[in-house]
Amino acid sequence: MRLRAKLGWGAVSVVGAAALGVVASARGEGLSSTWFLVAALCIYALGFRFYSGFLARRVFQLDDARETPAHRLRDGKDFLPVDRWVVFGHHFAAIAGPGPLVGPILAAQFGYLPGTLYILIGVVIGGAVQDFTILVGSLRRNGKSLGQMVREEIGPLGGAAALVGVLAIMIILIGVLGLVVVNAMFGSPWAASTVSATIPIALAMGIYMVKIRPGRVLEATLIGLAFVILAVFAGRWVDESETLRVFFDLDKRTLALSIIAYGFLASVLPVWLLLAPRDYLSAFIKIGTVGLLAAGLLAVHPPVKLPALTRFIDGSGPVFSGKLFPFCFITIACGAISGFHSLIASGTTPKLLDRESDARFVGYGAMLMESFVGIMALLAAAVMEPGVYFAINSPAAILGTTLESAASTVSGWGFALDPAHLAALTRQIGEHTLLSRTGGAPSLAVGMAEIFSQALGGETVKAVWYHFAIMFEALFILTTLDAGTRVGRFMMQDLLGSLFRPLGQTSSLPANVLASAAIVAGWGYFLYQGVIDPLGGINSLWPLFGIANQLLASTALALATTLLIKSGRPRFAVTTLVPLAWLLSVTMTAGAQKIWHPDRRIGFLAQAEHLASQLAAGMLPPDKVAETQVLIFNNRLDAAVTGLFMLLVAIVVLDAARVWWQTLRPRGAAPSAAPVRA
Amino acid sequence: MRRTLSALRGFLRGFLGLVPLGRDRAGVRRALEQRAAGRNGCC
Repeated sequence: MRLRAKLGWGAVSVVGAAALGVVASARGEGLSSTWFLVAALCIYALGFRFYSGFLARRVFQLDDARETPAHRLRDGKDFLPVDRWVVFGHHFAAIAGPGPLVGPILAAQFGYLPGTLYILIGVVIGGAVQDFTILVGSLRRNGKSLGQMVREEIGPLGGAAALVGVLAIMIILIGVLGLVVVNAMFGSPWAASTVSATIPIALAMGIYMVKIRPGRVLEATLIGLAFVILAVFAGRWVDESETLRVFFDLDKRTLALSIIAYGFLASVLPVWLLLAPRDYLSAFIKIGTVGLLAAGLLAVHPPVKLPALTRFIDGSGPVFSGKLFPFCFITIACGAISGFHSLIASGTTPKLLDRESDARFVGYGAMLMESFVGIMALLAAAVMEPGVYFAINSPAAILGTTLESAASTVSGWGFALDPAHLAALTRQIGEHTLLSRTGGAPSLAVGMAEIFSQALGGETVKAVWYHFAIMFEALFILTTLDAGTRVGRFMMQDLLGSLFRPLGQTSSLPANVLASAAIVAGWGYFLYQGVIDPLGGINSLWPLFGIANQLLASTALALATTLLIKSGRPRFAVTTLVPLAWLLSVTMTAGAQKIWHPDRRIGFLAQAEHLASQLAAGMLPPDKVAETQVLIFNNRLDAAVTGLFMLLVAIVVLDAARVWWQTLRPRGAAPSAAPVRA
Repeated sequence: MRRTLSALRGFLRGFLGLVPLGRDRAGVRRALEQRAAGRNGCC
């Protein structure tokens, strides 16, 4: 390194360390959010320049002379060498879902510090390493998928466990995402009408692009975007019109059933008709809004109002129950490390890379960018009044249903909440209530509206920004929900096809409908259950989603470690072994606590037991008996599903450990050990 | 400046799912389909 570069990077290190030091040591109000942004950008720059450089040169020994699958297997459809910026955009769009937006918001109940530190440290040594390693592994194996690689490199037992695990995890994921959309649109005719308007707009766009004026993407895009913007403003008229608003002022059950019906349609209909244009349209809104949020934070640099740590690190938190360890890390999920990324990194991305060295920029770099989205979401929560944050995110079972009861509960926790201020805020953003709007999406929208309105337009346009943000989130999440359902359908058809061949034909309508129905029934069940659970469904489902996602990451890291050990440079396996050990301790602790914890706000079985004893003692009114029986069953099912996930991952990790042992033991190599390939 | 703009255009094109587009207009629909069907991620 030349002297100038050395001095430059030295300066970045000093500035980053100073900013992080301020964030970590500041107590009391008034800390500017700029410190967070500076600390994050410096840490990302250093992580990318030095750690990913080390991984690329020393660990993987990336070599541009080695042909990538995009060249070797080029078919112009799946395999095609593409400019690295295009692959970066594709990879980022596919990995960045609602996780980094919602997770940090929920984890803010512990204060800003644990989340900030985990997002920054976790991504540099965990999440980005996972994405990068799996991408390189797949790149050197003709773009094979995670499941195929687990089967081939670890064994048939681990492979089968991974396949079942991925499918089951997908179902839980979609259920949780559906729940976040329901909570965002509940009691908000503006949001519900705007989001439902995007469906006919997408259908019309699909028909326009394919049937009316084939290939005229720009025309269709402009028309589609114009209608989406119109839908945002028209939502206000709907909200104010007595006759129209009743159609969109939906209760949670109706919203859940509508989302289930939508997911089924998006999976069954031809992809060009609904899914592709909706995905495309929402991509503009996604990138535009995230860019706007970054610009808003830089322009306004609002002070952080949330404390560094709250009293809820002891596990008594109202947003979700459980101590800082492990639940903060389970909840943050995608901003730091996400198992789902390994599906992309072994899916479309390795088939598009032009050169091996691009894997560093795409695999490591895109994850850093996702982490930055997580930091921005965390800041959106941290710049709100803490009292308002807790009023929005705590379930009605804790807060009560009036502003006064909520204010006295939240004040009891030590956070000032003025009912008049909350009422004024509710009016400003054009909502009817903000109390107990759990799930993370509404409070993110409030935080974003605060930032946007300070940057542009002031108080008068706060309502427009709020509803824009809600629409953005719902659109964002629905995109994951519909695409996920469709991909789940393909996976289900793979599985069913191996039992009875005709069921595997993706072009056959009956097979398509059957597999779609099976997937939708799976996540629809969990969604509906979350909606009817009076304790606030997100309470039990988000940790389940987090655990599932982190367990998938454990599977990916176990595979990554196997690849490194088999590559003949086993000492470098420590780069994936450390995050694997951390994740296993987090997820297995969280899983065991969710199943067996004696506190019924945390443990599924304790809650089932409590309800069953109430039922047996005849303490419940007769009209609650049937509902309670359902809840008891749900809690036991949640416990069983969590146990199943833990078992599947334990199988994969133990099977992998067997391979490590066979490869590393001194006498004779294992028969399955591959030649030197990282 | 020119390089930044071209990088930005590339990123947007990838983000919007226009991956194998090139100059091939007929490829747009296929690209969108592939992207939607291949979006197996979603965190």
